[in-house]
Amino acid sequence: VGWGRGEGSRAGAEGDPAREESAASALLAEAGRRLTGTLNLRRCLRGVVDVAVAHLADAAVVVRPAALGRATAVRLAAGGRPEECSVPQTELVALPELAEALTTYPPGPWRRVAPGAAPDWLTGGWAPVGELVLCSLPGNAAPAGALLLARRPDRPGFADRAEALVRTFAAIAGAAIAAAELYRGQVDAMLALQADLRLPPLPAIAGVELAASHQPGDEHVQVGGDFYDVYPSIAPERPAVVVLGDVAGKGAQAAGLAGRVRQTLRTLHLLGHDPVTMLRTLNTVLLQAGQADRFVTLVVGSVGPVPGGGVRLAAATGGHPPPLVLCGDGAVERLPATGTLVGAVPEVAVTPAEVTLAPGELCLLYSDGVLEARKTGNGPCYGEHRLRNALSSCQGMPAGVALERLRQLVAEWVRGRVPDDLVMLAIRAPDPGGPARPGRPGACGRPEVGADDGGGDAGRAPGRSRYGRALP
Amino acid sequence: MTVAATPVERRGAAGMVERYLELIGAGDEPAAVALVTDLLAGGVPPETVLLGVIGAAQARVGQLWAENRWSVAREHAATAISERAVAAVAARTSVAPVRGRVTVACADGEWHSLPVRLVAELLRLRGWRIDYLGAAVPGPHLVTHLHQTDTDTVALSCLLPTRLPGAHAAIAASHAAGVPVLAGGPGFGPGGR
Repeated sequence: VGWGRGEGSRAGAEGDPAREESAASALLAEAGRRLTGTLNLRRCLRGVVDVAVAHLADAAVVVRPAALGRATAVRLAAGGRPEECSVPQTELVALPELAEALTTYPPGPWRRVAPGAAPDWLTGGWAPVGELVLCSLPGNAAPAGALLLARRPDRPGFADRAEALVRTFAAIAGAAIAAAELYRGQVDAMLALQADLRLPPLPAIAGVELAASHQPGDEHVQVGGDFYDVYPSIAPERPAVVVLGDVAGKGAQAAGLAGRVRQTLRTLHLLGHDPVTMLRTLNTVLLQAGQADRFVTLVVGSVGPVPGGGVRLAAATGGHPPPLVLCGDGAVERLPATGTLVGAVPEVAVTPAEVTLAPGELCLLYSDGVLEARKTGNGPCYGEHRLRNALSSCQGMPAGVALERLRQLVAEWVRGRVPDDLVMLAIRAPDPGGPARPGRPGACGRPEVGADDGGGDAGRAPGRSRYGRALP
Repeated sequence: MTVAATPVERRGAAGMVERYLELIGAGDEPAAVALVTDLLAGGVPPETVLLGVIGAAQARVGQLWAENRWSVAREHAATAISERAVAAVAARTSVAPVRGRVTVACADGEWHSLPVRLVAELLRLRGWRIDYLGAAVPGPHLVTHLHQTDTDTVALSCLLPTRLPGAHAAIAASHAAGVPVLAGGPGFGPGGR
């Protein structure tokens, strides 16, 4: 197998102190650039052999300590491509210097290895090899791996005074590999834990169009304190239930409580309770948990189709912004439900409300991350006024399309800054005519006037209300 | 990427595009998806369906919107149907990933996800494993994803020149994480260059 010449072992650098020093600086600079920016283990290992071949050797191998009975290695010969291989752990003892480098911490001196002693799996069949040196890559209180460097017979060998430089590089490489491994371990643990907390795909509910949108505010964990959930109908007389809420706090801690809240509500739904009872019982559950600052604001609504078209939504809120209703004429109204924070005081005051959505009308549940999205640190919030105008411009859109548009408008408002958690849930009465069909009288009592109307409450017949107060 | 002309294109892809455009303009998702799946069932290559029908029709949607002949609502609804049509093509074409792994994303602030979705599906059809991150991916989200996956390349899309700062940040951050970037889209200039 032919192999090329590594740049760093260019004849002539060794022996000339000025050139040696400049070559050492170049090595350390590239090691910093290539190895400190990545937390991905595979790219990190490739970076180590890349830099080693560019500056120190004609070929290089990183061997990782065995896990689950197998050891893995990444090797690169100058002019070739990195190759990955995996061997049984028992192969490691064939080369005592390698076994030592993979188990000794703090690392000892580098070891010269007789070219014939290295097994083919390690060198990838490079031939002929002039000199081989092996050194340990120190990690977190244990070796992160071993680095094998090879030079061709027609090149100068490894001078003894090169050991300090090789070991410095090994320390940088070992620290980078150990950090990437630590990160991977934490990511794996986090992914396993957050799998249960992820917001679920929506179940289908006959006669109701549902869509949800979730954008976590924390780029490290894809879960947060804002949540939604949908519990399908358990009996003909018990409608399906939608919930959307916001737990105090942020990130993983809030996500844990949000998961418990969702589980509690699901159980209450299965027991046949209505939204008001669900809120009150959740309040008791949270208070008994005894963590004073762990409260939640939420909307709980029962939802189902009404005969002849349309969707009925009966909702109770606990300290949460009331849902917004996009009427057939483009007007946007608040669902007049009110209620106090859940999990803070023993008695919650709840005044539920209900609405019947005509075909094509939509009700938006949202978390206050939408209202509080800011352009800059202390710039103006997006606010309910803008949200209502934005919602008004979604007239005629299917629920999923409307949410995508709202998400886009809020993101444009914050101009690329990652906002707080954003969760939205849209409930829409299916419109058999589709979005392209011309308007027809909506349930709000006025013919549709087109999307350019600007929305808001302008033009609404005074005193007219279609919101009921009776519940459950 | 080039796609060879197929019988459908020679025999009147234009007619097929018109028909598809009519359906998505009327918000008729079932019929639009059926048209696409019928083409596949009739032996039309998936790349032709994606680019020659769905992609071509969406280019027209963009024009109709720009000329103010279609409302925002109609354009959004039509595009949403095309997303479903692309998903239908994806569900009916399975290709073993043998070539490597590509992360496909729109630059921060860039919401036009359908073109990049088409790119993702084309790469998938050509044997790449795809991580599709979708529209408006904030830089930190992209980099977190890169650290957490063994991706070989980022394919980054930018349609509007105003989103170029976001694209520039994403490219610099990907390079710092050791991942090369393939950037494209009219935001970078005519022909995506």
